[in-house]
This record gives sequence, structure tokens and C-alpha cells, in this order.
Amino acid sequence: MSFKDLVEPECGGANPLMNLGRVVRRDVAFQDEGLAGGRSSFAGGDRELVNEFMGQIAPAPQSFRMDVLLKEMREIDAQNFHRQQQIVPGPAVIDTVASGGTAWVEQFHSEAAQARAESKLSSVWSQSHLTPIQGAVNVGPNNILYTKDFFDVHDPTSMEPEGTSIRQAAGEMLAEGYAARTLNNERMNQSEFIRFMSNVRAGNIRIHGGQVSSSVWENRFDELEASSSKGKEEQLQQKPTEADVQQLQKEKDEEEQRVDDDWAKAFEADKREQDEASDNYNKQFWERLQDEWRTLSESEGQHPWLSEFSDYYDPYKEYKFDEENPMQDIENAFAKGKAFLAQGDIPSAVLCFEAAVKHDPENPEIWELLGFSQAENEKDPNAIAALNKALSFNPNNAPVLMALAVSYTNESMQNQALRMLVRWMKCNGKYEALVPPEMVQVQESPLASSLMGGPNLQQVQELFIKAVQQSPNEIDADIQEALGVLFNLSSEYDKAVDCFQAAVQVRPDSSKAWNRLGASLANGNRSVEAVEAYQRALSIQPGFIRARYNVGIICINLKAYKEAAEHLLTALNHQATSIARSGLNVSSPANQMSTTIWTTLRMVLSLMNRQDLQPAIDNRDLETLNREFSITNE
Amino acid sequence: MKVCVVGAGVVGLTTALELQRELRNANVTVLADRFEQDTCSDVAAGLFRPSSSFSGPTEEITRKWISDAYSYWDELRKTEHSARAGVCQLSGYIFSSRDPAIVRNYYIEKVVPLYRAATEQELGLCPGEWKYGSFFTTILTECRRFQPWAADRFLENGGQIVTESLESLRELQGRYDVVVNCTGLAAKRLCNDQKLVPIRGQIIKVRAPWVKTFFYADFDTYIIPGFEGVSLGGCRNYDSYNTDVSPHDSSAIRERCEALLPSLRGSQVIRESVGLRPHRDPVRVELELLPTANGNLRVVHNYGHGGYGVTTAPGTAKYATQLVKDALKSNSKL
Repeated sequence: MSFKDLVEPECGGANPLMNLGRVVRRDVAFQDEGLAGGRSSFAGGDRELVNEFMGQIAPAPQSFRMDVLLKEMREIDAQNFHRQQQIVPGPAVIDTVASGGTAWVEQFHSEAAQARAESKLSSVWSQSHLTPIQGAVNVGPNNILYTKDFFDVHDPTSMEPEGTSIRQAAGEMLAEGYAARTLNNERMNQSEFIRFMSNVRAGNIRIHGGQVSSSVWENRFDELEASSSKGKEEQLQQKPTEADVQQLQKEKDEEEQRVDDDWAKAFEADKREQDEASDNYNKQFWERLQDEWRTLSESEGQHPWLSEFSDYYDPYKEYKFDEENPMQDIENAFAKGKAFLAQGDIPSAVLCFEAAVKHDPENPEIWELLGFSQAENEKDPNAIAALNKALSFNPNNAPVLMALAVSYTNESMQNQALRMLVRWMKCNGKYEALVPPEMVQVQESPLASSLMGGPNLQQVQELFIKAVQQSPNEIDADIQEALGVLFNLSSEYDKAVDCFQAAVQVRPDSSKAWNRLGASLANGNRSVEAVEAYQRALSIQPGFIRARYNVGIICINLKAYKEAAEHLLTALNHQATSIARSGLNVSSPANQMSTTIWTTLRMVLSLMNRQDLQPAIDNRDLETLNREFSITNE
Repeated sequence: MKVCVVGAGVVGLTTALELQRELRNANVTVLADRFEQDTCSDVAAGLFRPSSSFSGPTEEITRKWISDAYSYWDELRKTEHSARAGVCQLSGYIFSSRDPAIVRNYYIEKVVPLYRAATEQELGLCPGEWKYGSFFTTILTECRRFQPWAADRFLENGGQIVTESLESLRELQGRYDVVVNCTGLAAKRLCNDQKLVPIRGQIIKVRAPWVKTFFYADFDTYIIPGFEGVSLGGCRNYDSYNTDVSPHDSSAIRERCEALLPSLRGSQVIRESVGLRPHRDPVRVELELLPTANGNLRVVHNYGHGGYGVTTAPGTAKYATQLVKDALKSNSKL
């Protein structure tokens, strides 16, 4: 719709309001692609309506009568509404199909059929748009003008008479100005005022009760304009317009329009809410994302693809205390912790040990026990950090080395696990002779070993097998366990099972050994036997979080997702309530819980298609989840 | 730890790169039987413009995919690699003579740096009675450049590319710990997923270097300038498996685009291509434990992006990678 067309008084020229007529009449079902297609459908389908409509409208732009026009539109629209209900594909296709034979295949490929197919798919496409269009078009001509003002989100209250009148006034003003040649000046054309008036005419900016209201979009547009030097001019120019507005406010006031207003108001209110909501949402999202990116770019000094050698990669160097440990002031925390361990209450023991170690950070014994306990608490990262600290005091601590090997295996850090196993062997008086010197040398100088790499899985296996063969008559439980860990690394689960079975023969009261047997069975897909092993472990140590977690994993493998969630939640609850059991103020139970368990729980919920519980997981909202799965805390 | 990404289109490659970034200890392999110019991604013009019809499992997740994807492309665009990777900034118009809703975009209005209404004058830029229009700035990814570049990055990071055809994903049990299924339309056969529907599209790539902005007209017509040529499109044939270039679509596209931008008349054709967009509602990005003879194979699906693969690939890749991490963490613990 160009400025020139509207304003130059051509006889019988296209009246911009006629465009509105076209909008009404276009049969959406026959929507074709692009300009050419659109025109033809328009011409073909609605010829008679076009003629009727055209005939009744006076050609000269100045003399059109609004009420007649509106009436026409309403009538046409009513007809059109009914037509729109029938979305019928062209008869040609049906005929050709009915006639049968292979002829229809060729015809299917012909242009006519193509067009139909395309209109069908456009109708699929337009399904999403059909509702808004129908909704808007349905309720009479007022909303045609209304949909045209699509950027306008505010204030549909004084819609029609004012809206059109003001626009008419704007149009007339511009027309006069043009006629009087006052606006012919190039610079005047570009002025804020002209642009403002043309926007008013187009309906993008509405003047209601002397106030200029514009949509969210237009606000932005206006801001951009206002920031230019001519902003002030616009303010001044508003005054004359207001006077006109008051004048025109006394125009006709049709009752029907008020009804439509209400409907439109409601529709608009909804739309506005939705828009605002999604605006806010988007804004928040975008800001949150930007913050994330900023912190990420600040913290990551290096390019993410340049990384440390994977051999020596250790993300768990520093021990991260769960903040706000409420037991910090307890004197005999260490003793208390040991007591809890004896009881089988792992989470409480961990709390005690953390407190103890804060008091006495140079005590390797506490670090050691802390490490062991955290592993059983299903917190391998913490365990690794604690054990490494213990190792720093005594590099040849065999149990610590073994525990580290196990934790590294769980975290799939194969190289580190192998290194620990080799060191373990070296510390062990019985077998240290077996360890070839090259393997040990590799350990000492990590920087030089880029050529050598870490110890080879195969080599370490051979080493351990040799160790077993050294004493064929007795079962060395430690060696068996180490070998079991090795076989887990190499995915030879049946062999691992054999090793652990030997180990539990020697140590039937070791819940750890039973758990390892269970895990190896589970990894080898022997789920039923695994459950039995875990049950043994839990009967020995009821607070064995890791064993309970493993039971959850078995349930997942067996597709018993609900039971899996229940087991995982039981474990989490046990951890969360550990503070209470220790008899102290609960600060933040969230920190006592294991990330691994939460991660697996998230996986279970998505396997159950419960994406609605995702926020509960993100917020570690144990209460909600307990309710969902009917878990009570004894 | 061994992860296999099946499929080497834009979704497969971005997922593979993201896996390498997030899983330091893992060996990532890309396994596919079609690469680069044989993929559907190659036909795409590559403009970042997800349609309002694009949907994931929930609205929140869908919006996160779109924001993440935009961030990825934007970051890449700002680096020195952007040209080699085929990523650049591009602005343009959507015009409609029918419906104001067409020119608005539910998802990206607050994501891209600029999205505004077209002015009266702009509506007159192209011949035709345009009533509604918008102008926005977004990002273009030229797959002809991106796919080889991404594959090179992937190999540099220690990844492996294997050429293999699969009859079933179960064949990968025992070879890999987790499989990520980015096979697009082939997932229909591999997973027996009947919800996957091909939407056939055809484009003409012409040499018209004077076109500097994109134009969309009532959605089925578009003109998108890329790195090597301008993509003229298009069509959307629902449930069509026809991979031949149709001369009728071709002349229809030509006509519509030339009506929109008459300067295109007589421009030289570089090539014409057809692609079958792998459409699914909702897009499937989720974990599945596939039962096999030797236990469950962990499969993370990432397919069904339809016509918005290039647009949303990095966002869904990030989400899929998180699912892979969760699955890998969830092991029996010794």
C-alpha cells in the first residue's frame, strides 16, 4: 500500500480500504503459494463476490461511506465463514482416482494435481494459522481492521469508530497537505510528523482519547525514532492531532461494534498476556543464558579443545567440603564417626569425619576413613579427593590405593585406576618383585611419559595373574578383589564374578565384597543373582548407600522404573536425614546427598516420561518426589 | 568409554563435537553411510529460523534448545573460523499479504539481536501487495562448508569416522557403551518409528551475488543468499519420498521468486536439489534402553528435526550429550 496511491487523487484508483475487502474474501483453504498462485485462486473462486462487492462501492476515494462499506463487509464475511468450513480438494483429483487404472498415476504428476497437493499441504501448514484467522475474521468487519493492526497489542476498547475515523482524518490531513504542496518538500516528507501520521493512518499507532498508544513492538520502533534528533518535534506535533481526535469522537457508535469490542477485548487481553508472558520468559531465558556464557568464558582460560593429557586428567584434586557442616564444633567427631560406621550409618559417619578433618587436617587416618566412607556413600569424586589427600601423607598406603583404584574404575578413569593397581602391587611385600621396573618408572615422571602412555591394561592383568599363580593353594582376597576390578575394567565380567566369589568366600562379612560381587554380576547382565548379592551386603550394613543405589540400577535394567525411583529415593532420604540422626540442626540436607543418585533419578524419570518432575530434580526437591512415589521417612 | 554417533548430518556432527567437548575420557566414533553432499543437511539453505511449529517434549525444553543453538552459532560466528565453518550473520524480510501471524516468530523474537516490524517503505521493496512484514537479523550456516569443517575438527580431536550401513541399532551392542542415534529419516527404518514423516523440499541454487538479504513471502517462497549462491525455494510435500528434481516445482519456484525479486530473472543456475526433511512431532531427544541378547543397549535418540535441523542442531546436541552423560554415570558401582 504505497503512500502515493492513497494520496494522489486518481479517479477510480485503488482504495486502500478495498484491500481489506480482499482480506475478508480470500478463502484460506485454497491458499496457494506466492503471488501468482494467490491471485488466480482469488479470481477463480470468488468472482461473483468480487463483482458484487466492487459494484456496490463508489469508486472515488473521497466519497466512500464507511457504514455502507462495513455493512457489505459483514455480509460478505458471513458468507465467507461458511465457505471456509468446507476445505474441499479439487474435484479433478477425485475423478481421476475414481476412473482407476494407471492413468491416474500420470495425472497425479500433472500440474493440476500438483497444485492440489500443494494446496493440501499448505492447508496443513495453515492449520496452525487457521484458528487465529478464523477467530479474527469471524466476528465481523471490525476485526478485519483489527487484524490489520497486528502490531497493536494494547487497548482495543475504543476500536472502531475512533480507529477508522482517526485514520481517515490522518489520511485526509496528509492528502490536504499534499494537495496544498506544503508537504512536497523532501525534508518534510521524512519528518517524524509525517511518519507518525502515516503510521496512524495505517493503524499501527492508535490515538485513543488523545493518548498515543502503541504496541510493544511499536514502542521499540518509537524508541529508535525518538532517539533520533527529531524526537522533540513529535511531542509538539501531537497537540493538533488531539484536537482533531476530540472532534471525531462524536462519530457514530454502533451497538454491534460494542459487542464485538468485548469479544475482541477478551481475545486481545489473552493474546497480550501470552505475549507478555513469553516476552518475559524469553527475556529471562536470554539473560540467564548470557550470564552463563559470561561466567563460562571468564572461567575457561583455555580453548576447550586444548586439554590436559587424558592420562593425568584428575578432576577431583581438591576436596570440596559440603558447606555448612553443622558438626564443626564437635570435639570427638572422629570417634563419633567411627561409631556410626560400626552401626552401618554411612552418611552420618561422613559428616563426623568431615568435621573431624576440619579440626585436624594433617591427620591421615581421618582422611583415609573419610575417603572410604564417601565411596560407600556413593560420592566417588569426594572419595577420590580424600583418598589422594591421605596418599599425600603416606604414598604407600595399600588400602587407600586399592580404594582409589575402585573409585577411578567407577568413574571410568581407566588409566588412573591401572596406575593405582600397579602401585598397590608395588607396596605389597609379597608381590613387589613381580612389578617390572619400567611400569614403575612411568609413574614417577608423568611429564616424560607422553611417549610411553599409562600402564597397559593387558600388562597389568598379566601381572596380577602372575601374582595369583604365586600362591595357588590359598586365596588372597586382596589380589582377588584387585583382579576383579581389573576384569571390570576390561569388561570381562564373568571372570570378575569368579574373582569376587572367591573373595566373599574368604570374607563373608565384608559388605564391600558382596557389593562388588553384585556389581560385577549386574554388569554381566546376571541381574537376579546380583540382587541376591546386594541383599547380603545390605543385611550386613543397612546404611550402605552404594548397595542401595546399585539395587536401583538393577531395577532400571529390568525396566522396573517405579521401583528404581523408590530405591533411589530411599537412599537420598537416608542421606538427607543423616544430620537429624546425628542430633544436630539441619542446615542444608541438599549438600549431603549424592549427585550420582540425583543424576540417575533424573534418568529414571525421563525414562518414565515424567518430564513434569524435571524441575523437582533440578531443585533437589525431595519432598515433592517423596509425595509422588509415596515414600515416608521413618 | 566408547560412544558411537550414528549419522553424519548436521545433527550427528554437532552432537559428536559436543560429546568430545563434554566427555574427556571417551572415544567418540561417527558411523554413517552418507556424508556431506549426500545428506539432507546439504540441501538446506541453513537460515536460523525455527518455526512456531517446532516442538520438543515441553515448551521450556524447546526454548532452551533454541537459545542454546543460537548461542552456539553466534559464538562460532564471532571466531576467526566462522567463514571456513560457513557461519555468517544475515538479515532479511518476511512479507505476507495474508496473515500478520506469519511474519512473527514465537521463538526467536527475543533471541536474535533484532526483530522488528517492517516499515511502510520496506513493504514496498518487493513487487506485490504486501501488508505485513518484518525485518530481522539472524545467522546463516552453509552446510557445504560446515560439514567438512566440523568433520575435520572432530578428527583433530581424536574422533573416528566409520563408513558402515546398519540394519538395526542392536548391531552396535558390545561395540560401544552408548549409541547416539542421529539418523534423521533413516530412523524410520532403524527404529520403526512411524511418527517420522518426510517433508520433501526442493531448491534452486542460483548465482546472484547482488542479493544481500533474505526474503520470505508467505512462507513457501524464499530467497536466501548463502556463501556460494542464492537458494531459491521452496516447497513442502508432506509424506513424499520423491527425491527427484521436479521440473514443475522448479518452474513454480522460479516464477514465485522472480515475482518477488525480478532481478533474479535469467540468473544462472548452479544446481537444483531435493531433500526429504525428517519431520517428527515432537522431535525425539531421549534415552532408550534397547533390549538385546546381551543386556540393554543405551541409545540416546536425537532425530526428527524436520526443516529446522541446521537451526536447532547444537541445542539438541547439548541436551543429548547431557542424556549420554547421565546414562554413562548410571552404572553398577563396585
